[in-house]
Amino acid sequence: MSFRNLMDFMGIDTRRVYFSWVSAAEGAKWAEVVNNVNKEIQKLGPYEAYQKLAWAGVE
Amino acid sequence: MEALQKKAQELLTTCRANVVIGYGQGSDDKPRAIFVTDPAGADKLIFNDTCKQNLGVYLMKAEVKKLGKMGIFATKPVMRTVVLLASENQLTDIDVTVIGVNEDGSLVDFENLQALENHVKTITFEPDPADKAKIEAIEKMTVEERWAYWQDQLSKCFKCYACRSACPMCYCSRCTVECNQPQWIPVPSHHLGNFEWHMMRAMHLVGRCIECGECGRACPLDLPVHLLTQKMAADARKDFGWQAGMSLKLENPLSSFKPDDKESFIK
Amino acid sequence: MTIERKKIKKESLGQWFEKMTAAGNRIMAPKRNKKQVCFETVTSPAEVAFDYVQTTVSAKRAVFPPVEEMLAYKFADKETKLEEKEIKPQPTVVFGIRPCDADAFVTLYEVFSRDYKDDLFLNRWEQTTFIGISCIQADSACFCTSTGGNPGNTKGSDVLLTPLKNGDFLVEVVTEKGKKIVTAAENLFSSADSDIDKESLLAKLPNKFEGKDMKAKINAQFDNEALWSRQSMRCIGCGACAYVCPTCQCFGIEDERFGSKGKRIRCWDSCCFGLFTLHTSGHNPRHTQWQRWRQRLMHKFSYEPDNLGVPGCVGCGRCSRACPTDMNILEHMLEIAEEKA
Repeated sequence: MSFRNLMDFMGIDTRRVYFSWVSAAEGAKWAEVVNNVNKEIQKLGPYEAYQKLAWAGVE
Repeated sequence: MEALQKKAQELLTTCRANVVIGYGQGSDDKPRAIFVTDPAGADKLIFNDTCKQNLGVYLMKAEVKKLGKMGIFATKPVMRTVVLLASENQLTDIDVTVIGVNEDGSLVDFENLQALENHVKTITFEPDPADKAKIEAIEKMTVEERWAYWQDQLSKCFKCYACRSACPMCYCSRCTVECNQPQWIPVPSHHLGNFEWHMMRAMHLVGRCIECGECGRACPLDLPVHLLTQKMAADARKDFGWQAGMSLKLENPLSSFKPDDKESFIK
Repeated sequence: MTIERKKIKKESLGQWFEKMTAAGNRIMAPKRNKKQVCFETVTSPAEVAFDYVQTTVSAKRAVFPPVEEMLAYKFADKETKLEEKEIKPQPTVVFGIRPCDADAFVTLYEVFSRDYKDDLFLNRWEQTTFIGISCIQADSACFCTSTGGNPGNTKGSDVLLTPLKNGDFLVEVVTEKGKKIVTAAENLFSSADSDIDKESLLAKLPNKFEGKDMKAKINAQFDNEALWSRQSMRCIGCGACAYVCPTCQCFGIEDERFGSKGKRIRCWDSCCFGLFTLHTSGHNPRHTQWQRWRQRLMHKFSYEPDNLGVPGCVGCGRCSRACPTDMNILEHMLEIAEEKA
């Protein structure tokens, strides 16, 4: 919760961050979670703002 | 001030402390931390409203600990610092004697850490109103504005780690950034490295920040890094009803579990 | 080369900046940001701060950036391919450094060219012109006159400006590089009045300690643990002093990879960090802050003068101003000067 709040406070798009309890015995749930997250992220498209950070500021 | 100096002499001569940590005169009318080991040196101690540095950081410094039992003149933030460090098993009654200093300069002699905790529980602690206002202003921004704000501020950071060194709670002898198998947080001060460092530092202080503002004061570039940790402190109050440095028992929400902890963020 | 004196009007600075920018230079100059003045890229003298004693951070990033790419590589077809791209630094004019800063750049040059020729540094150096501005004011942290400098020293500057009482500038063309950048805007400069008394315009900064005696004095204190402990007890071991300093040059090297692409990067480091000298074996020869503090001062006042024949400290005072715990270097050097051998 604190981490989500911090990310949001620092301007990270928290729509792209998911927390879920999935036991190793819950295979079906895992597949459902992954597919769902995948679908939602694809709707949002690439996270260009964060990608731009890689090596920004290196002279 | 005389009472302060007399108290330091008393601590040293009665062996309640081998070194007294307090403020002395520094450069250009600024105060600085001083370490009095000889009763004759107690006359160097001062106290006024410019004395803001969190002296608690020295309670965890090996070179100071080596001098023996530490006495410390503690303003409100330092009182909370000591309670927090004690709750994390870093300080016991054998290590430290605390003399509280009120805003008007009057002293409170604590017989032991329990007495300190009793006193701290009676104080209402208000974070600095200017910082509180700045946090609220940032909260009102859109996500994109917040991103732009922090990228602008943090890109100036050059990873001097003054924020880390000045914080009494950052006492790890080997910080996470100093692990390179794997390198969790990039070392160079490029934009990504700075962003992840400050995010990580704020996370390691959730439920531990006592809102002294020392990290922001220490920053040579005047970056408002204290807003990140103070925001986490405000959230700990709101979400967990928790305020650091008020209890000798380790009940930090990130170190303990209660059945009624909210799980609304988990799907 | 004998120093030629000229004059430029304050109003003409704008055109000089335009000419330098048009020639492809990026101009780094002191810019005010709330309470601090720091070196940033500018295009017009309107952005430049003139009325201040010293910037918070030095301008060394012009030739020694805080984060610098050394090489790049990528994985392709099970092979690691080095990308041999020539890093061409943009020609740069560093405008508005103080004489102490100019002195410091000479020290950095010696460090990076003494035995191993550091191409990263030297390529940037070659493309950089230093235009200094003499000091007409100083504060209690300044002590350039104790380290062999003075508020109007031309050493290290390609061109040195001195503010005149009417707002114009005396221009001293010190080197061939300086001559080039002045000649490129020849019409903006007039000949200097013969009666300009530069000395009288400069800040008065009495000598605080005898610089040439300090090496012997500090060497004599090497084993004085009590002195170093006393001085460093309040030090919290951050890197603020090293990073604002114009002569500090320690760096670390990091390899970073994203997917199949990677870079080798050099970045600033500080001898005051606790784990700076930690060996892989686990042994740390400088495991206490007093040993690290001693190292810092010895390096600046003994080792660098010995090995390079240049000052390791130029008395700019930035470390003293930036330090969160008021480790006033001038005060410490005075203490060492007074201490019995």
